[in-house]
Amino acid sequence: MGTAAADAAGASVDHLTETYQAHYRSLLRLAALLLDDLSSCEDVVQEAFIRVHAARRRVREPEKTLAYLRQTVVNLSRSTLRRRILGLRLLPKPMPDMASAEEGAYDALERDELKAALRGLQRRQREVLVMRYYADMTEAQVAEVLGISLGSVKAYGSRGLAALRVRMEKSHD
Amino acid sequence: MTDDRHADETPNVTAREVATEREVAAARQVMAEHKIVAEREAMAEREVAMEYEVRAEREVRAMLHRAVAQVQPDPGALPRLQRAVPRRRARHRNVWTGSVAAVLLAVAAVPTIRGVGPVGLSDSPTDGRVISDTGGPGAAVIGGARSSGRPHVPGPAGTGSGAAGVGIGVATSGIPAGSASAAFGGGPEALPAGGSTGAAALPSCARADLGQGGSYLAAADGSGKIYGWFTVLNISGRSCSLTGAGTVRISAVSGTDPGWVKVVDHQTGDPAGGLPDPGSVPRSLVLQPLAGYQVQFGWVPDAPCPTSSNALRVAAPGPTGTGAPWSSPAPGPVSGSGGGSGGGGAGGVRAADLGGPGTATPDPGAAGGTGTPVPNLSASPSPSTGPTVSPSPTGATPSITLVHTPQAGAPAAATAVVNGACAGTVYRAAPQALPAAAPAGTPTTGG
Repeated sequence: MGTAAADAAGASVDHLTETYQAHYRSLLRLAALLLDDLSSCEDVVQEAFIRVHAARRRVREPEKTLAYLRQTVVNLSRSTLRRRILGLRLLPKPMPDMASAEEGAYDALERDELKAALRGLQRRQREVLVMRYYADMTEAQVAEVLGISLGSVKAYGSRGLAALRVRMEKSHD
Repeated sequence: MTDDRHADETPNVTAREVATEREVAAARQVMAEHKIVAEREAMAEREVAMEYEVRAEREVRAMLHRAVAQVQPDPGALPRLQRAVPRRRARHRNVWTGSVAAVLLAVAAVPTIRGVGPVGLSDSPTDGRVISDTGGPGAAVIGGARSSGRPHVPGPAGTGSGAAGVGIGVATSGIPAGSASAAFGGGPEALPAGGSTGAAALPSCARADLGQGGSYLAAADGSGKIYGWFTVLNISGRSCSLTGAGTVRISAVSGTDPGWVKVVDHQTGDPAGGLPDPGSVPRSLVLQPLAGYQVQFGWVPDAPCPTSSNALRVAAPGPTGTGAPWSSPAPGPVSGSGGGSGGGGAGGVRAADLGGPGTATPDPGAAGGTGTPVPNLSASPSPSTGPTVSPSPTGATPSITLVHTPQAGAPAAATAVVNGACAGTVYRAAPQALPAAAPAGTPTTGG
């Protein structure tokens, strides 16, 4: 019995490592697009991993792990934002200003503009855009994760895209 | 002439019609071309728009990726997760286990608390703990507490050991009030001390926690030794720990001299070799609700009784329904009780203390008549014993009555009558958990 438990624990840890290597970075970046400070992103993604893996028996199909993780990240990001709005603001550690050699000054500028533009969108629009165009999820997947209809996803997506364009162009003027 | 004119006119008309048709066709073609051009323009516009859209999406996609390209996981993220996930899982498990335990505790505690109040006052069938009176002739009314003697097979070891006449207290207090109590006049001293006292953690088993005592006797072996055991169940809704061995003593003898029989503790190497080795018996037992313990004993005769022809007999209500009310001044109810339960061979009732409202689970009791059910006495054994009170056919056979009293104190939990015992020694073993300790001996019928 002890051996079986140890085996199960070992298997789950292996599964955890695997999922981590495959998805952690992209989930962190997903959170980074939804939130504005890196430490919150880490917190959110860590919590999502812990939740999904601690309840792994409930996740029947392994291929759904990523979907569950994304959903949890999106939901937690939203509640993190809500908490902040409600005034329980932790001191956010801002995103590192990483104007490294790889990233030119233009990119850094664009990144800041994009982030500012994203922040100006409605929350739903931002979520749909990030999930559609960063996580490359289909409209149906986004609808499932956000718990809204396909039509709403389309509407949020097109309006969000238009609003983003307007904001980006405005910042160039 | 007319022909000419006519012939002249016809081609004219035809020519005109042809000209008109050509114009129409030309016009149609022009329109079609316009339409095609318009469609092409629209399509081109759409294409441009789509391309723009696609480009915009592609751009957004690229921008989003670029925007977070520098975001890297914390180096300590994976180790943190590897520690945190099992911890969270354990916490979930604990929460789950805790809630289950809480529910069980509530289930166990509520009937106990409810039962303590109206002790012996109510036998209302609306009380969920009153067992419906299906015991037939065994049912007796004692001082307001209805008790019906029905056999309860003590645990998994109970093959054929239907302890007939096991008194299940069906009064609201859940006190074991066996049918034998009726035979003893149903005095209040016949009842164990009142409702169980609820205690936290794992308390030691109080006398009120224990009940449904039964006994079993195997057939005498070639040398006249008779092995048997008492069983006592934890009838409270909670687990408790059995801290002592209790006592086994001879409460009555009939047809023989009390000085000729004695009870000693079983030791390794003594004549009662069929008993479990004392070294293998645990010091203390934890009894889950409805789990029980067993006290094995062995009767080793010094010499065969002069009146006993061959095998020693066990006086007990057999499956045939022969009542054997030993040491009883009022054999009627006991006889009925023992007979009813023995003959029924079924109808064992789980302790109502479990809290199930009115649940009466029939047990396959001494089915097939293989058991030798011996009624349990919840009462203190009467000193007035004698063969004369027994109407059973074995009445002339000398017998000894053994009683087991749990460590928690009086009254006795179970009684066994060894018939055909005149002089000898009863060896008793220490209590053992019930399922593991059943001897493999084949029980014989009471006759």
